[in-house]
Amino acid sequence: MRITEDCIGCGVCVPYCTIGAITLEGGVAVSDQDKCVECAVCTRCVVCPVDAMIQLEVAELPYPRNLRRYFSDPIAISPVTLAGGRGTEEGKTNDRTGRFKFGEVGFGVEMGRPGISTSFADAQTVAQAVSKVGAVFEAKNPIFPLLSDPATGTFKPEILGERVLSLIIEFTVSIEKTPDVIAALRSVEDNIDTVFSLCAITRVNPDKTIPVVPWLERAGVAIRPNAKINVGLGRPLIP
Amino acid sequence: MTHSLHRAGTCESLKNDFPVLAMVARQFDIVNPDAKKRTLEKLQAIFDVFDQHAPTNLGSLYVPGTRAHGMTDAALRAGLKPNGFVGAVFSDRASLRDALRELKERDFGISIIVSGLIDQVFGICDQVGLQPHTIDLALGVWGNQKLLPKAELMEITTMCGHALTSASLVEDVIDRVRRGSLTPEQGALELAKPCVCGIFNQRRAAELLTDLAK
Repeated sequence: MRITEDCIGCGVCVPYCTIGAITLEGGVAVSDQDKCVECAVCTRCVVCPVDAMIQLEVAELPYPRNLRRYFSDPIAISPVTLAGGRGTEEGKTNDRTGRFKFGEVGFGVEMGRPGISTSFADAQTVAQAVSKVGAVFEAKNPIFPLLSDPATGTFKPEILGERVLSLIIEFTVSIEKTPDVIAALRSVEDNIDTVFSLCAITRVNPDKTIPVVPWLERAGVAIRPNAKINVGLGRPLIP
Repeated sequence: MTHSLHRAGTCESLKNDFPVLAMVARQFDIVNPDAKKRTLEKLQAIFDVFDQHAPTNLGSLYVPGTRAHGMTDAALRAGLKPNGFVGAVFSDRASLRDALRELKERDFGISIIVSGLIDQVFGICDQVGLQPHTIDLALGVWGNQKLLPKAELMEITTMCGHALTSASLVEDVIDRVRRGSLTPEQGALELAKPCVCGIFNQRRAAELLTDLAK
């Protein structure tokens, strides 16, 4: 998002910026173009009294800057998934698609969340770490075509400096590899200049126990008391 | 999308917060015009079921607005698309239970995903006679924790799962509530503005704002 010379410095837009890229300098609002992730919250939520904010759409932004737009604004349509959002259907439709089977765990490493943003360079640090323990990246995720080498988690070099509000590194491993994934993530979490929110997706046993829980507990991972649960209403149902 | 998963807060704070999604499976539901037509009809019917059981918020990613934005239910329903989802958030267990019971009876076949405290959601599934199929566990925030805003601000910001409600906006609204220029309820609606898919819980936000503004 760019701010034109019409800005009168009222500051109404400043708090809406998702990552603090808008500041008041010299009596006018300035948008730091390195920080701005093109999420469009400011132009969608703020009524600028002098119409001084310009937000370009994905097709109007040059590559690779346009990556910021479609990873940061859930309304922007990804050319990969043909849908909004940063991820895939993952476990949400697993009762119909059977993507995650008993004995498997799907991990989602949401880089930059909550509300910090991430560079692709930091995402690469994490992707390369988990690739070494056998992570197979989800081909339908919008980051997949941006990998120059999916086997090693290496992104195309020209995008490493781009920043997005968040992106999701999605991969599936056998449940026995859970400790290796956790160790790989621990090995790099101090080497990145951002945060990530981590999730693990598994089938629920018929007795309502969760097979990955013992593996996570043995690895010393704290499991939040809240979760996202597919309640099995999809049809035909994958047993 | 993990956007309805990583809500921050204590069990006490989360006990009346249940985001629900009705999600199409693209490999089945939008493969041809007939499938799209049937899918859209199902999403509209599911929207009506949600709507009849007193959700706090209601929306869909592809509709430019949510109930919290003041969109009418008719406008929201008319804007549904077959390649999308219906999002809602319930603020009490009984409403969620009744909505799930009706969805089970009508058997639309569209995947339904409920977020919330695991024990509570499993308990409601027991009451309705549902077997949870798949679970997405939240394993916390990793990396450079020094970058994070205060925990009490994240209880509100994480209700927009796409992280579009900033901590600075929460602080700004708290200040406006303190000064009396906004009520907590008005402040909650301001904080819901950035969220585009209808799972921001403005009722919980108003309760949190009331405490934070003291």
